[in-house]
Amino acid sequence: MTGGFPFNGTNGDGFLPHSAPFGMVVGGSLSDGVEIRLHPSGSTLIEDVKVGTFVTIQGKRYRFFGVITDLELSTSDSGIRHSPPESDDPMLLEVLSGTMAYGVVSVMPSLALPLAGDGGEGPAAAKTVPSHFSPSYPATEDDVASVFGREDNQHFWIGSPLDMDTRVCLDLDNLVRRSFGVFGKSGTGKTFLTRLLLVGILQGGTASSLIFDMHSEYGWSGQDTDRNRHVKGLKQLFPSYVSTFTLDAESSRRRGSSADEIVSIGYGEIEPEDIELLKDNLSLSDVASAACFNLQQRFGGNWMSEFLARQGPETGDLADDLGVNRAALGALHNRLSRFRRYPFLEEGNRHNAAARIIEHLERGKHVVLEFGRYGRDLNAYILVSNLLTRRIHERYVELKEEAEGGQGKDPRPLVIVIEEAHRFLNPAISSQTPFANIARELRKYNVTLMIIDQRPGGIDSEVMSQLGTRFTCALDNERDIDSVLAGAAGGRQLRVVLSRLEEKQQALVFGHAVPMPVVIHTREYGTPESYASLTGNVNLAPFEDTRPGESDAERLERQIDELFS
Amino acid sequence: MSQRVGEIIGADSRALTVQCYELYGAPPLGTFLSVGDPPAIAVVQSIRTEPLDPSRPVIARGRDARTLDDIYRENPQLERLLTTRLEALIVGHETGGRLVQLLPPAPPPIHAFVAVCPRDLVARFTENLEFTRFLLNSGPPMADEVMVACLREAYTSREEGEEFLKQAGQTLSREMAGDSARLSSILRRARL
Repeated sequence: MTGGFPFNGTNGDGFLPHSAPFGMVVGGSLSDGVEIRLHPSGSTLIEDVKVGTFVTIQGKRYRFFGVITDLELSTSDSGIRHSPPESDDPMLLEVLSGTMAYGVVSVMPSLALPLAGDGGEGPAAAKTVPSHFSPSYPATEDDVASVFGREDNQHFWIGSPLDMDTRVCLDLDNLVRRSFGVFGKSGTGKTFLTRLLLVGILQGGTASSLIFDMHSEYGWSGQDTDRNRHVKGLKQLFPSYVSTFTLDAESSRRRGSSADEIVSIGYGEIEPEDIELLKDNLSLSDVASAACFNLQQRFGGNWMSEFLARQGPETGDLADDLGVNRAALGALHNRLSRFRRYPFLEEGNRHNAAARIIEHLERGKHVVLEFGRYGRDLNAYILVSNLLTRRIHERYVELKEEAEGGQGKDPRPLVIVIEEAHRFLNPAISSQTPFANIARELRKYNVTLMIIDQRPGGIDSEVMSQLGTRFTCALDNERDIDSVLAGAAGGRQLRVVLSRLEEKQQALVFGHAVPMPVVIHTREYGTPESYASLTGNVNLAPFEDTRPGESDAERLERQIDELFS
Repeated sequence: MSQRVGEIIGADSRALTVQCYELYGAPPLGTFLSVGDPPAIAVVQSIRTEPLDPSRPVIARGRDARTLDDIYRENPQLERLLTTRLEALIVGHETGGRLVQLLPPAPPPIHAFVAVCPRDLVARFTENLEFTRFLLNSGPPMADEVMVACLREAYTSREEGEEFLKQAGQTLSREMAGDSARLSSILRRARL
């Protein structure tokens, strides 16, 4: 505990607080939250109370849990505003402070724990408010544990409440069951929070993750630009549970990362829908992007290679032949020719990178696809992530349907991690991406999304509304804040909390993975101690590198092959 | 030893009229008085000097006198014709050896002796500040003046006077929630 907010640590019995109340309920409503007047004795200075702090209110029948959403300076005499007392009389100021001029704290009670009963029930969503004059206390360590659970395989320690050393844990099952998002403007700690969440998913063991790692910062290692140091990625922390794929083997080598697989994609695997997504980025007209479908109709699966093989006047002839505007087809040819710069694109359609990824995922591994230098090229990121996701999406739908038909087991839940989502999940094109489908319905098919973005306002509201849990670091832009809070219970109150987050290492978390909204100081990541605590406290099952139906001898043979191939 | 200053010549449940033994012998405004035995505690809220016989109005006598003392020296009968009376507001009483800030069940009897409360009794009585309600509610125009005088006396009767005044201010602020200017004025003047 830091600061002057009175707090006496745990209360031993975990039920009745023994620290002094900092105030009592004097008004409010269920929709707007309750007002707590600070104690007239002045034992709690309003400057020591911070928005976002976790507090409890001891009602007659329930113990309520909530966060402070606003602070107000109030007076019983409106005249004080107009004629304040002389500032050279400290005693008079002291008399008026806390009595006629006092602090009011707004608290949104989110959860209520019945006081009567056998104690077996946990806190449930508050459907009432504490009665008048109920005392309010700073939350204790036991309060935090009773709300957020204690750290175990299914509860991952993500950070601490403001001004407390105790641990806030996420329910990992609930987290991966629905899509979720990590938001925050640049430099607020999104990447660190994401790393922690990925470690959590890995430790939870119920889902695999596929990370489209735009800036190559999750797989082998990443940068801590604030402290000018390298931080370990997932592969270094959990080598046997993580596979790294790369589009840019050279970059991986330079960074000291040994990628498990190098990804190549065949031109034959690119579909017109993949190009349509890039319409804006490639400055293609509607006519030009629609021409891809004509080309596919004409040339079949290998349409792109065939098209790019045409030179100069041949394109014009082809346009006439297809009945497409010559200039439009010329522009399309010109733009698609840029793809020739991507060495990871090769002729043919049998590269099947998606199948390789799925294979790793089905074995329970977590896959990081590093983009290397292509991470700076948004076209490459959008093209590859969409293309692979489309294939994976199709495969998961098949697997799930087979499982429902009794022909196989349920596919292992998968979390697909994407960055800069507003570029391709904006309202104009999101419906054409497999990601929008995943957000909308793929929970049914055991696939969910983890969206990392600094401009959530640019993401289609339909996609945002599907996010089960939202992690929000500091945001400035009104539109972004509106978008993140849209549909959240108590969104208006949380807005104040969100707008007051510190620029670093603080996040507001709300949604399915936590029983109530909470502001956290994110857990440390990047120090030797943090690595030890992340890797040492979990009982991860030893990784079984066995494929379905594979005997021990077959597995050994395969592993030897993999080692020397 | 408490100093006896007069006796009750009129009483109701709330206020007392006291005739002082000495002309101009009333204790100052705001003084805590002990009345009867067991004592009722009252606070001086107004003092007046007037003719003993209301039918014999006072007339001016000093046309040729140089000083006020000259007038009284040349008219010794004035000591017999005039009297000093005071009104005191009852703020508590002693019952079962305990001081309570409640009105006594019945007012003190006529001719009950009135004495100035010793300092230790004032300090003991003013440990609880509920009595300020009686003063505040005694009605204008004198209530605030009496309050100031009373706080001044209690303030000077104890060593930790500033702390007492702060607590009194906090108690008063609850009573005067909507009138910070009045409270400020009382506290400021109590320390003059």
